[in-house]
Amino acid sequence: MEFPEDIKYIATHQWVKPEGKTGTVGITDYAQDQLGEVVLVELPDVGSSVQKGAVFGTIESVKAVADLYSPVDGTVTEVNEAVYDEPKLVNDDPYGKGWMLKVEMSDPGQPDGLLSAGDYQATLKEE
Amino acid sequence: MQRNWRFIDTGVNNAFLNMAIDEAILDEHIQGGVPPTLRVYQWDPPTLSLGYNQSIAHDVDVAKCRETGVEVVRRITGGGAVLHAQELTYSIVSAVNDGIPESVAGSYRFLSQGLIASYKILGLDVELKPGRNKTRSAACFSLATLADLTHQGKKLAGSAQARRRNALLQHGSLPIKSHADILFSVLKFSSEASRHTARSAFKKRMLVLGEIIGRGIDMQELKDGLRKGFTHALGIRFYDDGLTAAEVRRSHALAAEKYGTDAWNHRK
Repeated sequence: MEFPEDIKYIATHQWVKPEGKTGTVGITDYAQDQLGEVVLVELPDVGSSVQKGAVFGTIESVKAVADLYSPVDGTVTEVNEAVYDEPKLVNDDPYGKGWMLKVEMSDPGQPDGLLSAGDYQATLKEE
Repeated sequence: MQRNWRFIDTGVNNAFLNMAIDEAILDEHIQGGVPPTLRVYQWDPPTLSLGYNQSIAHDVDVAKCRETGVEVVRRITGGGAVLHAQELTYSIVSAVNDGIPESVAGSYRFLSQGLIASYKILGLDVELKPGRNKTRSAACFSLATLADLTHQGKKLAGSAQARRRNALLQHGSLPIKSHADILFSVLKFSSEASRHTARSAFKKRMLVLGEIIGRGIDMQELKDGLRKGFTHALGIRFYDDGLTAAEVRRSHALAAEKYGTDAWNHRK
């Protein structure tokens, strides 16, 4: 299972990759593994706002629907429509082709306060 | 895992309140207001419940539902359509940690031990068989998917989950009598031939308690069996309880503002 060092994590199993003002958001390798095969992803519209810790969408695997939580505050500038057509991208490539949102962050410094790859993995060991 | 759970029998309610109560328990549990809970309940009028992402326009003949007195409600859990008539529904709300596996498949397997023990108490040997067919189908019971309880290869009980924060809601239906004819009259099909084929396949794959046990099953016997099964298999200690005032308030609000609305039920 992979946890890249160049992205930040939250304990509800989402990640954000900051690049300037934009943060790319998705779910972790651990989360996709726990969910099993993803069959449907529901994401917000471009232009809607997201808040750190609040629900931005849902993900359905075979028989379970789970809420998705935003790691940052901001405005959605792009959603990955490829995961609508091929939800399994989230399983196959959670940090790459399975990304979900691009967010213009209200505070580009916000990811600094989130979990590192090591911190996040430590939360998994407690569970 | 916390071993002291509430056992709540909310009796018979309408579809909107039934779904609202499950969500209210989930929310209250997440906020620390209530312990883990096993709830049992029934429905009046008979209700077709749809999975969270199911398309009502595509899958359901709403006019036919009205005509036959079948209510329709959308669940917050995944999966397909279930007809709630002549059955007992259970719901489980618990945090996932400390004993209940976090993975969807793992938690299904874990909780299924309680269901298997319950069936055993009722005199029926069932096993947990992973399904191979992952194709989405309108009728939940048409397919034995991920961790369904089967008896001689046929599906007995269907379950679906929602995950919110660190908690799960799993609810499932334990049918006592067959209702395939009603179910397949209210689902949409491209032709009568395909309706017939789907109904026949469903009848072949689906088992109901009354038919296998070969005797009448009293609702109280079923409720007691569930409670004992979860106690024996998972070491849970149940105490009888009712909903808290906060759960009652929250469930009435959710029934009125969410589950009873077209905005929710016709969202897809």
